[in-house]
Amino acid sequence: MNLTWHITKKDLTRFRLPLAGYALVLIARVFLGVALRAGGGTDAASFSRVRMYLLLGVGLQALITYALVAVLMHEDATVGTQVFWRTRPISGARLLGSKLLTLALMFGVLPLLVDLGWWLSCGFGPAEIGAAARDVLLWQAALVLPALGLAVISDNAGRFFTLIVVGVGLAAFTGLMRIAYFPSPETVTWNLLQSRLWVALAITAAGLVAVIARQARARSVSPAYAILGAVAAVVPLILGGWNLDFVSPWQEKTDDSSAVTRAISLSLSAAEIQYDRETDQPNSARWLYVTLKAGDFPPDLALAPLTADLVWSARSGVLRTSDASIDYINYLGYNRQEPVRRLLGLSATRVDAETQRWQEAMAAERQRRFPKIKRTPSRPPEELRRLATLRFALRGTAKFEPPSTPTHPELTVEFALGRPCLLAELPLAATGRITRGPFSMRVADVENYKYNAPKRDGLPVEFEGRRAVLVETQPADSMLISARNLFRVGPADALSPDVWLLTRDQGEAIWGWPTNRTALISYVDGVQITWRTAVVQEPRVIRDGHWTPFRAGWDRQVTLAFVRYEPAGWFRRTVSLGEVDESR
Amino acid sequence: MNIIETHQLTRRYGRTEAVHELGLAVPAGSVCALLGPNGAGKTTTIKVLMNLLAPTAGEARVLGVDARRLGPAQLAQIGYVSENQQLPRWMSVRQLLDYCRPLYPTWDRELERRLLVQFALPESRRLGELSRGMLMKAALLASLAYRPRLLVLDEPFSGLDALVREELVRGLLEVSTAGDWTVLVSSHDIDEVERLCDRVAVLQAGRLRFNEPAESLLARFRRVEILNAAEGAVAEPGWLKWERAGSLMSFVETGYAGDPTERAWRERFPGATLSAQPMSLREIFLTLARTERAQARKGAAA
Repeated sequence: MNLTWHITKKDLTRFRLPLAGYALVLIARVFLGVALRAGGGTDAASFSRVRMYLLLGVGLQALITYALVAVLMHEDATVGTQVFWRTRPISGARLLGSKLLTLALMFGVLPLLVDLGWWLSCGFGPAEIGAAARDVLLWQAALVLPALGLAVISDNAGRFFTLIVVGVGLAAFTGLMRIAYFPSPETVTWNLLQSRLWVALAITAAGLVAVIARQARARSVSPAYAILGAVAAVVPLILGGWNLDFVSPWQEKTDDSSAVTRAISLSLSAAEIQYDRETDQPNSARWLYVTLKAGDFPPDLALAPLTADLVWSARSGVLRTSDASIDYINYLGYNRQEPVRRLLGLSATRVDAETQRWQEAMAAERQRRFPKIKRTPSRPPEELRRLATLRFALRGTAKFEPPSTPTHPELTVEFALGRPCLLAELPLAATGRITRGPFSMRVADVENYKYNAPKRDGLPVEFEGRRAVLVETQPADSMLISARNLFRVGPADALSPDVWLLTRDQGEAIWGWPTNRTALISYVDGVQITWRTAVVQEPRVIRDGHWTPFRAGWDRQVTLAFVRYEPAGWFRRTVSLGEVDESR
Repeated sequence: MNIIETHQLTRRYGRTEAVHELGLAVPAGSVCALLGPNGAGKTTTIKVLMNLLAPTAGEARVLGVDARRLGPAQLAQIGYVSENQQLPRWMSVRQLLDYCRPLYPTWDRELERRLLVQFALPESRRLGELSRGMLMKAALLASLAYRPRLLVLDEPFSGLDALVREELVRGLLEVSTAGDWTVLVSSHDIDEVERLCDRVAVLQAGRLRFNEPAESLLARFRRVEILNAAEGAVAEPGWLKWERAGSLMSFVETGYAGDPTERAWRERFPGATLSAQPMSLREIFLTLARTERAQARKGAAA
């Protein structure tokens, strides 16, 4: 161990200046994160600019990582006959151990040390720090491992770069050949995609580890070239053509997480495809809308979509696809209304007679002017709650012709349940910050505005509003692999915290998303920073000959509630869609 | 006991055979010069011995171990200096020594200090800033200070001026007298090697021409001139560079054995005047190299 550390010390001395540069990049990224949290969020442009700097920082960090890994390994190259260490009493295993130790210090310990202060300043506790550290380490390993695999079979920067180009070129060539000669007639389900990614990842990691371990004791690089060449050639084929879904059988053993979720039923409400058999080209893109309704659902929990996989057999083939998006009717907030209202202790919405008249008049006017647009009320009726509309993009390239005879496509959907809990509530009247553990929200700016439109038919189309700029900080979802989160929305994301605009004396709770003008998200080493605006507006009416807010002093009554959702279970159901309506 | 032994050692680069069935033995305690023209296979042989290259066929044993299995235990007893070795040029001389010292349990601090003074090496200067001569001295110092049982030098004098060569040779001579070391040195600088070595191995076109003590080699080579030799005399096997100009005939005798050889010449050339001059290692080497080249040309023409 002493000699291993002795070699590591030599390398750290050798690369102290590049390492300092690397540390500066890490610190600069954290500094940008601090700037975003502290004061960079007052306007979207400045947030976007800082976010772009952060992306550049990520690119620069990756570039420096590759360069540092290469020069570190080339310092004591494992190929060539002129290297110093080969004639000294240093075994290949010791050298590899020393290099791995150096890499762990450079790309593991150093980023964690830099990030530790950042995480603590964001209010992260041990659990959040552990999760963020794991993500950072996995991300670093994903960068370092390929660079290391190529560095051990090269002895200078030119050859290293050539190997990168050849590897990428070979992978691209294989991928293109596969597309050209073995086109896939279908898109893939989440689980199949996940299976492919696992296999590709396992093959890549195994190939790289084999090459690295082999070069520690071997002299010839030809077998290493063969291994990496095979990996570069096989992985695109796996990603495009592997058809064994081993994730689904594993998942089917665990369809429900608890007795509560087992009691929930899921039924088909409607299924409709945007397709005109007479006029549409066979390969034209189309949309499939499926509406599902959850029954026997606990009122204190919110429903959040995770994944949906559609399998549709027809003479022209089997279409397997995952959802492009899962939308709740108009507002996702619908299904969160009830549990959040319960949480916040809001009484039933109280509407005075004059307001009621005004709302009805507005609704009638909208209906008269835009009769074809379906309107949903701002407060959902009970029957609209727990309805999920799933929208599938059936791509033109899928070459799938929906059968004229119904074949009952099957849909497997997965939902998470979340129990809302209030992180904090603060008035919308002024700027401020609330922090609860790793979650914080800053009202970075508040401004009042007025909206005037031509008066039509005596109806007041004039509003005044208040726009708040919110900067939220929370632990980021895992970017890399976790048990149920790989390349899918995932429970954590589906149950991400949200903001509610409350008018307590009216019993009114409006979900923050519908009033969003812009939402920008940035990630800094396990911390998600979201910039967005929340707007609440009040109609203006003429009273005593003057334009005045409909409710006097409305803006002082509005508060912002920051709500997060504790995971409370998840369930998966398979639903037969029956006959799918074709319509425009 | 032989510190280095090779049996039927062959190394090919593609279709080119750099070393052909080499059978080399270097006894313990000897200073063996590995001589040969460019491309003879000297460096390849040394790289195989140091496990920097794998043999294509045959076997090489160093310190009693198959060269392919040389590990830290053996390498801790071997010093290696090569003109081609990539030293960590970012290090200062001091850093190089500090880095190497813990690797060797037998490192001799006193010897290190002595050699530093003798080689006049600037400790704080980076290797990359040193002249070629200084760099070789630093490499030699880092390979001598642990008193290796075997010192392998691959063209250590290449490109050095006479003064530095002299310093290096003197350093090697002094160190070699201090212990029972074995040295294998390949070099073009035969004059320097001649002062060091007590054994000579000559490689030509990847083949070992001979490998014997320097004393015996110098004893059996003679430059012979025969005045008034009879007409029609032809060269015999073992005579190299045979020439005749008028009544003067000259050749290099490769099997000179003193009086018996001279008696044989007199019987063969009665009445002729004979003179047999000892040859230096350099002359022997050049004679062998030229003869080899001439034979290669003749073979190519045929």
